[in-house]
Amino acid sequence: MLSRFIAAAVLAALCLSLVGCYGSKESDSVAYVQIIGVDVAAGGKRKITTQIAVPLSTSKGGGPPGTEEKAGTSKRWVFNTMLVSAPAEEANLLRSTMSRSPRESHVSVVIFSEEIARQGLGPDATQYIRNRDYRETLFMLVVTGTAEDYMKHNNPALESSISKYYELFFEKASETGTYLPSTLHEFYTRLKTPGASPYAAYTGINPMTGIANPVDHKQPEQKADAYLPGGIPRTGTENPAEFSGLVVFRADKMVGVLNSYETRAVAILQNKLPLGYIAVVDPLKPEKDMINLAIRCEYTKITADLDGGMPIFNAEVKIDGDIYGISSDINYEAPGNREILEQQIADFLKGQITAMLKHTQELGTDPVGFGLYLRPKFANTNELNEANLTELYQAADININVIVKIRRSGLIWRTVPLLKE
Amino acid sequence: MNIFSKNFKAFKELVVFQPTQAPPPFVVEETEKSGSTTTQEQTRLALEEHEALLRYARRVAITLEKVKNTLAEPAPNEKLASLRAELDALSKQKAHVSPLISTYSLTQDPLDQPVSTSLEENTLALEQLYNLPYNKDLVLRNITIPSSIPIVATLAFIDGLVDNNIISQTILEPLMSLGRENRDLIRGDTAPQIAARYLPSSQVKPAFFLREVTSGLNLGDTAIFFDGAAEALIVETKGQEHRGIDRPALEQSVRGSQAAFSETLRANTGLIRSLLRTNDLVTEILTLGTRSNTLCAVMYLKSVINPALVQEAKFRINSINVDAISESGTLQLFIEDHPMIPYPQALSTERPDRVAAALSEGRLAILVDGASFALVAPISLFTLFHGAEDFSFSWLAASFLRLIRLLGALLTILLPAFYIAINYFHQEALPTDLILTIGGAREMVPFPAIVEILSMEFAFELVREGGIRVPGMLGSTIGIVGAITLGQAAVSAGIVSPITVVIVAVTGLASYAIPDYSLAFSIRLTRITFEILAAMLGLVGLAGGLITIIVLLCGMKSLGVPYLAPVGPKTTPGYDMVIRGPVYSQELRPDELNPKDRRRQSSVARGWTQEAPAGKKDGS
Amino acid sequence: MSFQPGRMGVAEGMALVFVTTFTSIFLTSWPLAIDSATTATWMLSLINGLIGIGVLYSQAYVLQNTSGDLYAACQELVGVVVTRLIAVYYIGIYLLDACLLLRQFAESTLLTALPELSFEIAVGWYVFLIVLILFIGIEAIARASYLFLPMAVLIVFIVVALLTPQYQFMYLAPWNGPGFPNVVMAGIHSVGLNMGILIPFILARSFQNSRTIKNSVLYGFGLSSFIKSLTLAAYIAAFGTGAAREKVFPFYEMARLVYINRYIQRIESLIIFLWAMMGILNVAIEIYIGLYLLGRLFNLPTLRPLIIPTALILAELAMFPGEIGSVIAFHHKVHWSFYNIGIYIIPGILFAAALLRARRRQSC
Repeated sequence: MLSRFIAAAVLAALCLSLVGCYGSKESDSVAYVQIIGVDVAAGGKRKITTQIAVPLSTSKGGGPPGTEEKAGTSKRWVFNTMLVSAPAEEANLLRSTMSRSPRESHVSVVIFSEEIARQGLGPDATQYIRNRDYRETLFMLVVTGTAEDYMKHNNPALESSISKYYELFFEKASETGTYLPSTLHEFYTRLKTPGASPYAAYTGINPMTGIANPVDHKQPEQKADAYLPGGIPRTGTENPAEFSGLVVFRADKMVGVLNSYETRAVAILQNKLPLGYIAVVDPLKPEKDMINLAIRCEYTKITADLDGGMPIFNAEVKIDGDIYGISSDINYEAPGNREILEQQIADFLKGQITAMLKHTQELGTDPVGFGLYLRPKFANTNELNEANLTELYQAADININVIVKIRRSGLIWRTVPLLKE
Repeated sequence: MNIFSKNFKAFKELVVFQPTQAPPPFVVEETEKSGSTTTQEQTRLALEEHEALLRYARRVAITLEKVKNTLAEPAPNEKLASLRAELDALSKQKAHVSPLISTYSLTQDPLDQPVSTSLEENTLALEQLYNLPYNKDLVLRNITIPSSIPIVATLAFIDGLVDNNIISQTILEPLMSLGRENRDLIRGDTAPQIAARYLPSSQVKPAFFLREVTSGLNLGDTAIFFDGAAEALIVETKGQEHRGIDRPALEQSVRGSQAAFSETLRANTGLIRSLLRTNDLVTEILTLGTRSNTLCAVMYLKSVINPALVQEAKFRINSINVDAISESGTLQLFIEDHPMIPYPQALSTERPDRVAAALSEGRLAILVDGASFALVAPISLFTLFHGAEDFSFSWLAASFLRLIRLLGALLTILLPAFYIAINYFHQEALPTDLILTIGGAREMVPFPAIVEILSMEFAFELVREGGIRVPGMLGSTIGIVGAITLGQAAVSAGIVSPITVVIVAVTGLASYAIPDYSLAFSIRLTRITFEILAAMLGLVGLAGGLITIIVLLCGMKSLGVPYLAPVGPKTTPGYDMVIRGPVYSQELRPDELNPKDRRRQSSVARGWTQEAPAGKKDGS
Repeated sequence: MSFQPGRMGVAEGMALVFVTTFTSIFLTSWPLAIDSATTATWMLSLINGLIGIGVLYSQAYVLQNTSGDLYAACQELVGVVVTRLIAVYYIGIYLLDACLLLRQFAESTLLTALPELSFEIAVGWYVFLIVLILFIGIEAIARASYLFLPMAVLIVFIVVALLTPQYQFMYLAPWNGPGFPNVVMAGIHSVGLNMGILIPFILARSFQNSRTIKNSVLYGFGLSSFIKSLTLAAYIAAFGTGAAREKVFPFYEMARLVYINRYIQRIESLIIFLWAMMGILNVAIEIYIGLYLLGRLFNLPTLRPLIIPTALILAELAMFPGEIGSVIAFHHKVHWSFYNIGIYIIPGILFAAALLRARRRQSC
């Protein structure tokens, strides 16, 4: 019995040793690709830039003595830009140009240039879905200019890892609403299932000259400006990359750009705005005074009706406001005045939302996902598949109702006028 | 049957594999709920009464014969006197027997019987109460007290709880050897006279009921029964063995008793009996080894334990044919169900309180002479995670401690294997920053990760083993210092990465959270297997290892009881396995043991919660 | 017969049924089912559950009115020859299913966990483990399954809960998919995915009594149907019917999609544990059932010598098809057709025979 047991154990061990360690990689023989940028190049080729983490620099003091100084001075990442005609070629060439085996399992962002987005992202974006190394949760960006340029100029000082930079950026998107996190998953799902149109976050490099380049269109109630990436007037030593606005697609082709305020309107309608800052013209002293507020979207209710093939959407938006600055000395906290202010904000937001809807209806894209609310109106999926939700959206009648409630007024509960001399 | 089927049958017998006839493995059967036991009890009691009457009748016959013989010829006075004494005793026994029959009640506890005037009756009652002849703890010694009329008496005491010297000096010597003096004991009043005049013991008190007798015996006193006297004398002879009772060396605890077994079998059984002072506790003595003739005690609570367990354990021990066994661990290897699996199938403990707790749950204990560890069986894997102090802590604290220990075991099995699997195959599972840190730390290390881990484990094992061998107090110090300096030196020499040291240290520490030493050892073996599997096949290999070990454990039995008992197979939970419930809610004994008596406390164990506080009973 | 395991209770039976009916959630059967039921695919599992309960009660009736297990009941009701045919059919189904599952789990190992492993070794590793645990016995396998059951349920719930930010519940509309009658038809067709519900009836002699069998199927299959339905609804809500139809491993994709913040993400490797273990248990159980019926069919004294050859043959067969797509399509086809004979027709015949016999007895 014992000898048989031992013989079986030895045989099993021998068989197992056949396995060897196939596919195992020591963690110091792997290079982790973190960001991938895709540009168009002449002749239908692609210029693919990979940003690869340098592990030593991220583990300060981890290694044996003597490595610390090296860690401080060396680069945090390296770039590798190659002109390829197919992704497989890129994978090949990457292995020809690097000592370590590249691993894409830690890719967190894919960046496309605007040019490639206008040609249609379908073939470039969808191939990542099939590969187990890429997660669908990776972020998808569209940049002004080329991705290569953007990646090389994007050099955050605060973060040791470039993935962390992007992850933190999208984590705090909910604090402003002027850009939205966009994942490959959402893009892909919207491409494959009728209901909403895909979109991607819009980003770019600021020239850091301090010259303002705002969007022209301005509402009467509006005090501040809306921007697109690269247009924010700023100088300083912070990273020149900035996020503002949204790239909208019809099917997989980029058809236009929403500015930062339109993007916030999308966020409000998607009920994804826990915090945002607005400035409106003082309704009682419109000449130069203004009111600053923090707003929160409490709820957004969208109902749809398919009335004889003509869709009608009703959106009810409930906004909570928190005053945090009044330049005039009018007591807006008092009842009576408060309603005036609330109406002003409601008009302002309704104007923004309506403008955004008009813009997207013209472009033929539905970033909010009104079409999703139409889905239950079809009797079954066959009818749904026969209908064209984008065209229905374009033809739709959309009623917006914005209700604003000022909940708090900061640390001051009534404004006392300034002494006149 | 035609030719075809005949041929087919012959062919089948030729071709089909016939398994060798192995006896079926021992499995504890589930006890079926039997019907009314009262009728059985009734017949048993009636039988006993009849036997008592029969014995009385026999004695009458013998005495009559004697009287006839004595009176046949002129007899000396002494002879006549002894005859009279005998007749007196007889009449007393009759007086005794008849009310017993008349007041005979079905529910009467044998302990409530009065002490009989007949020595025979008393001996029989004690033998029944203490399960003689299986129980070797109770000693019955017949003596004759020389006197003008010699008095027959029986001494009863429990070995291990009494001091034999005291018995010799204060009972046997004065009663037996000092017989040259002409003693004259007045008839009818034997016991008080002897107590007053001949027993130089500090405490002597009469006992009239068997309950008093047994409680005296259980405390270590000696009971003396006199023929013809309806009372017994309880003589103080307490003399439990104190020598050699040390503090536990391995199973130290924060609370609870601090006594440990020693190497003397009777002292150890005495220790257990001193915690379970009941006539239910049976100590059976078996002999092991054809040459060593080692004594081995099997202890259990007769009214609780499943009799099949006792039968099987005795059967296994008796069937061992070996020349010498000197240790309970060796005995364990001889009797365990699965010798090929390193997981311990019996709890070996040096604490009498743990043994007592296990006995009261319906398990049995095996003690070997010369071994200071007792074996407790059957157990389940989760029993091995119990610590001695769990039983005296609040249920929340105790459950927390047990969960910590289980987590420690899981950690020690899985952590290094997980690290290896993720480091080699599944780098995507870690946050980017962490994998970069790990990669960076390994940058200067010249060995693959598996070699790092295995070599550090090896070093850790060396430190542990060396620490045991280093004499005295130095051991633990060297262990700690050795581990720290070794790890530090290995890191600064660039041989291993700091993360490996962290992982091996955490693993090592976690393995010490497992209370049972042999379980910790088998878990360590499992861990090394898992590390190799993880290095070969990543998490898939680890999953394979895990499922094999779990199915293996599910298939295991400890003395016929499933090893993963309360969960696989699922049994009625008893709130003292993984999670320890409040003590008053632990009403039932473990289901998987199928004990004779499932209930260990009444459903309201704390009677005071049901009544008014003691001082306010009158409503004042 | 020496291959008779000991007594099993509700917990073990429940685990056997749960494991064998639940593993389909890890494989491609459900993305294929989306073709027929689109947005209402989650209802299929519930419809399956209802039909399963019908099968359960009819078979419980059969067992109550005969003696012993399904095989003995068959012999009693429809005669030896038909019984043998039925046994051959069930042996075929369970071994075929074991073979196809083996192939798919080996492939999933390659696709999801160890992309550079050679295929033969993946199959070999699984077969090795399966043989190992089969030697320990069905009782231990059932108990281990019972240990995994809460773990599996917990992990599924955790993944479904962590996916909350990704759900777009409007993807579940229109609620009735391609029309309610179509959904019900698809539900009736897809019961074949749940051959596991017959296992306690086949192993009836190992169970304590007929109530144990009934309860174990009821709880095990009820739980697995409910969780499958929940998972499918979550799957469609997260991916939309379009992308959901494409995926090979729905549950793996769901785990990959978890992204709560910088810290709670990348959990799919930990799910490998779940599906690898469930897969091994499932294949082992099905091989055991196949072998058990083989043993009953030929009146064999023991099963053990058959384990290794059967496992090796199955492994070789599993490696036979050239590519995984055809295996998936074939498995789907037999699930929706051939397997249904074992769910509807054979139990139906037995039920009718039992009913007829009972009526005849009554009239006598």
